[in-house]
Amino acid sequence: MIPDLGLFCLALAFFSALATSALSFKAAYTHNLPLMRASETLFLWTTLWVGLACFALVMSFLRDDFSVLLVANHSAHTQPIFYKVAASWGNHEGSLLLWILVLALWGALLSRAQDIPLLYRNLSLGILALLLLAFLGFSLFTSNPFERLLPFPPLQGKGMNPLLQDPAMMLHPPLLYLGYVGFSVPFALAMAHLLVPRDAMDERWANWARIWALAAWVFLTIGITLGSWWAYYELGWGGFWFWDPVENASLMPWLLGTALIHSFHLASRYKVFHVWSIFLAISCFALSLLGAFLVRSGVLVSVHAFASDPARGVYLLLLFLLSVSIALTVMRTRAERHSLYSEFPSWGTRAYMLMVNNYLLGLCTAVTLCGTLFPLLAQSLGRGVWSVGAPYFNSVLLPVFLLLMLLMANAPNLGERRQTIPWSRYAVEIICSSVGALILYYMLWQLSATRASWWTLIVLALIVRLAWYSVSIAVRRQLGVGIAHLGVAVCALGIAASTNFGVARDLRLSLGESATVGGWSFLFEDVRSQKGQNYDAQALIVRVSPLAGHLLHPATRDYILTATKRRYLSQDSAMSEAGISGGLWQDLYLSPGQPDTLGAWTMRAQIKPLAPFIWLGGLLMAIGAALSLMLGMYSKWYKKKRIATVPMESI
Amino acid sequence: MVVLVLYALRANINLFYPPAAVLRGEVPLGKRVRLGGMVQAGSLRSDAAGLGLGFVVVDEDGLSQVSVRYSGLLPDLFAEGQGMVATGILNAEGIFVADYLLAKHDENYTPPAMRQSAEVVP
Repeated sequence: MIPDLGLFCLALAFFSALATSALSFKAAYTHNLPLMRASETLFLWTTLWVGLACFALVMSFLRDDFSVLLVANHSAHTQPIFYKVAASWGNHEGSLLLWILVLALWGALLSRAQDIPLLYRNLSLGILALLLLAFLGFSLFTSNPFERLLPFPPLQGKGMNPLLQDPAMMLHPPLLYLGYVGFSVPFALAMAHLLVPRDAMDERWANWARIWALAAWVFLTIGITLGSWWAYYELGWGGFWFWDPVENASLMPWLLGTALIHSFHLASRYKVFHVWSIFLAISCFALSLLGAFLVRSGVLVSVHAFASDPARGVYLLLLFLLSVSIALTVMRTRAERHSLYSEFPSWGTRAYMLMVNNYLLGLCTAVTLCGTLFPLLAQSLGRGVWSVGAPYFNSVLLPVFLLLMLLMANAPNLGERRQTIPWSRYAVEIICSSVGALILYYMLWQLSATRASWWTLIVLALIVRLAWYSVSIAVRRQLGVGIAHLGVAVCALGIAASTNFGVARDLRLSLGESATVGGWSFLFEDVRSQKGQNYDAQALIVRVSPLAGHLLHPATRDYILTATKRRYLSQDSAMSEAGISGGLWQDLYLSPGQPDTLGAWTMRAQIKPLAPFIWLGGLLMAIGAALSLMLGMYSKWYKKKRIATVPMESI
Repeated sequence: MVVLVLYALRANINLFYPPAAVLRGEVPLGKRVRLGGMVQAGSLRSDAAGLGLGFVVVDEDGLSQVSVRYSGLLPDLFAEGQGMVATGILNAEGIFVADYLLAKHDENYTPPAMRQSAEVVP
């Protein structure tokens, strides 16, 4: 019964979205204000239907309704309740429904944004409703989440992929989608800006769009950070980024989204680059659609790739090509209205540096896109099956990222006009950051008993300089921007330290045996059998003690690592859970291998100095952006309140 | 920039080969490539000491066989009779020395490259 109601709600949402888009375009065309308000209300109804459909799906999972194909394939009686909920989006059909829900929620929120003029809001909602319609159609016609297994439903489900059975599964997909899909709002606002009549054009659009893009960016940043952390502890190899095509699919909108929030800043504050911002908003949206295509079409080899179906891929590819080509055509024909604004900023100003920032971030996106699409293109052209390895991304992107950091450390301090900064100041800065880098290098060397190459020093100096400047921005001018930029420095420090000073060794230890890895001794103490709700496990207990105390560990202490090998009962598949400990300054990382006939175990021991900083940095970026968003809203509210109270007093 | 991208791509991409291609002598020696196929049942042997191990990779039809040497931890889902993709170098003795193994992910997921390994001739 519940699944049928869910399907009914989904169909209702489809027609409701159809009506909403038709109504709002009609209203915009005839400039009929009551009709615009009606279409807004209708959009809220659409959101409600979508919400009910999602609720029905989650209920089917909670009630173990194995007559629903999706539940039978991805859930089981023994599955803990949280994973039953999470299983509802841990598959193609369910995650598509989540995508639709998130899109509808963003639209509903937009319809309540009173500071955006009704005409803009209405047109943007019309565009969002069109998108919603396309995705609802996709869901209904190619991937119905409520497909039944009647009249003979199985008694037990197959269970969720053990890799996905983790608390992060509750948060990672929804957050990522909030970010991904959130970029549809600035896209819709940009299209609305192109479509409104000339006399209704409002320069402030860039400011509204910036706020929405920033909100989406915050979610995407948290989602990516969480995903990276998850991969780090769950996949059991100690990597935080694998340049997996699907990871790239989320990184590309993030990179371009970062460019977008900076270019919106440029457009709203300096009245330049309006057309460029529109183009970026379109590209950002296009990349999130491309991401959807890459994940769903099954063209990729990836942990994230869901079961493949060519029809789905074709549908998404068509949707992608159609929406992007329409958007670009509209931009091409309407952009000349903005020629007024396209004034080029002059060298040495903050606006100029923001432009370079946009160029570099665009470059990073293009490089990532090349590496991600190349194997697909080569394969579809029949040129063999290729894979592009991580060294490609690292070697090309590293210099660009370093340039970006150099830019970040200098540009925010530039004024709106060019100033001359005395050379002596540069000299002092270079000396200070070099000294900072030397101290950091020494500490990291002590932490892992490993020396990194000389160029690490340059990177560290750059990071020190960036961190210092970001703190000064946070204190002196804009708290949010400073914290977000500091997050970049912290993340970069974590990456530089853990990759350049890290040590990894594969070991084969018997009980009671110990080995030395990078200044730490690993003692294999015990093996214990454990039983979970839906798995059996063997836990390896390893005591890790520093061979000599060092600066960051005045009180020398031992860490106990517990690495487990799980065997899930419903799939009969094995899962490693790495043992990670070590506090803030380093991660001691142990991945379990296999036991041999004599009772010895293979395992991989790793020392990763400052590894927790990688995700701390990501979190700081998101916190900074969220802070600037909230402070902006607060000051607007405060101003409004003051304006409202002033006339009262003067009377 | 374009030159840098092309250069980096040239240096860092690996072509995928099925075991049959190794036997036909199509795989360049001493160059990093990927080898994909099934791990033959009963072929997995661990060294008595250390972390080295060896196994045999076969095509889906079971005709062409290639020996693989690997040192290190096996991925969780690596098992005899299952699919895998190894990255490494083919040496002059015809043994594939792998430094990275990727196992098939779950029962209803096969990497697209694996599915095609039988028909693709790079």
